[in-house]
Order: sequence, then structure tokens, then C-alpha cells
Amino acid sequence: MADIMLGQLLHRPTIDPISGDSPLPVQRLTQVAVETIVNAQTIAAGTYITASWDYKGESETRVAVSIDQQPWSLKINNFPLSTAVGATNATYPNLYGPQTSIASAAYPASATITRTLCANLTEAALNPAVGAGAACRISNDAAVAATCTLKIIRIWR
Amino acid sequence: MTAEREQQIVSALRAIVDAFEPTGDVPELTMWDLISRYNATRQNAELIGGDWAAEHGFDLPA
Repeated sequence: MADIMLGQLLHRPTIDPISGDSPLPVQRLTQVAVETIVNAQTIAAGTYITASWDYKGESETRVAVSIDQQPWSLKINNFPLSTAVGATNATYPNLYGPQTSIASAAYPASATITRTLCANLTEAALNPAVGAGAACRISNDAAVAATCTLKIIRIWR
Repeated sequence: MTAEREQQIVSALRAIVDAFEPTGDVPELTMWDLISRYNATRQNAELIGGDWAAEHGFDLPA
């Protein structure tokens, strides 16, 4: 009996909710917000600064670093996701290794915060770290003081 | 920091702002540019940054 009823259900005419006859109103909206997290802070030689931000429901978060000395590095703690996947420095490109280029305010070094360490752009696009805020540590490994600005770009898709 | 030292720093920052001329790479003076240029003078013993400059009247984009 149960099988018959299931068969009847399967053969009942249905309405395609996204057919041309009954289109579903869909509005796709992409929004971008840029926030300054660190505003031209001076980092003494051989030291680091930390910064953090909250989560606002974005689909992807990018960091943009302007720094006038090198080498430097940026280590992300995308908690609590990092605990789950065992990665604490996940950005793509990976900024945790020593960076040997400076980056100006007009042309910052930019990277996507990812759930895991990614080997390529496609992996990074498929694995943005979302669902939690994050913190980071920016290290100045140069022999002189560095000037650093950190912005985050929140993207809602 | 003494008031005299504060004034010294403000004067140094003001001189950087006044001397700025836009270029293709730096079309406008940002706070990062200001502090970076001040740090380049090796006079930033107090490690002042953009927040300090903003509190002392420098209204520049980040």
C-alpha cells in the first residue's frame, strides 16, 4: 500500500517553480565593503602587531596589506574554522612566509582568507573562510621600523 | 611626550603634507604615505602612527 501511494506521488503533475511559466523572482546582489583595521601603524623593527575583526555574514573576506619594509609576513587566525581544519595561516596567496616585496597604499598586497591552505586560485575560490571573525599578526622582520595599513574587503554574493 | 615634542612631530608631518605633489604611483597622500615618509626620516622614536596623526589634526584617507 505504501508503495502504491509513493508511486502516485511520483506521478502527480508538479509545477516547475523556475519555469518560464511561473518564474521565481530572484535578485542577485553583490556588495563590497572595505574596512580599515590598522591605519598606518608603525611597527618597530623585529616586532609584530595584532588585529582582529568580526564576521558580518560575508561570503568572502580578503585582506589588503600596505607595508613599506621587507621582509614581512601576515599570519591569519581564522578562528574557529582554523581549529577545525588545522590551519592557522590560511590565505591565498599565502602571506605567512617571508614577503620580500613592499606594498604601497595604492597597490597593497591582497589575499583571500581561506579555510585551508590552497594550492591554486580555484581551490581558494572554492574554500573561502566564512562563518567567523578572524585575527592576524603582521610581523616586521626588517631592521628598521615599518609603516603598515591593513584593510579587509568583505564581499557578499 | 612633551608638548614641545608633540609640536615638533606635528611640524614634521605638516612639512610632508605641504611638500607632497601627486604622481602616477601616489595620486593622493594617504595616511600610510604620510607616516611612511615620516618613518623614512628615522625620527619616529615614539613610533607614532596614523591614529596619532589623526588625533593631531591630519585628516587623510587611509
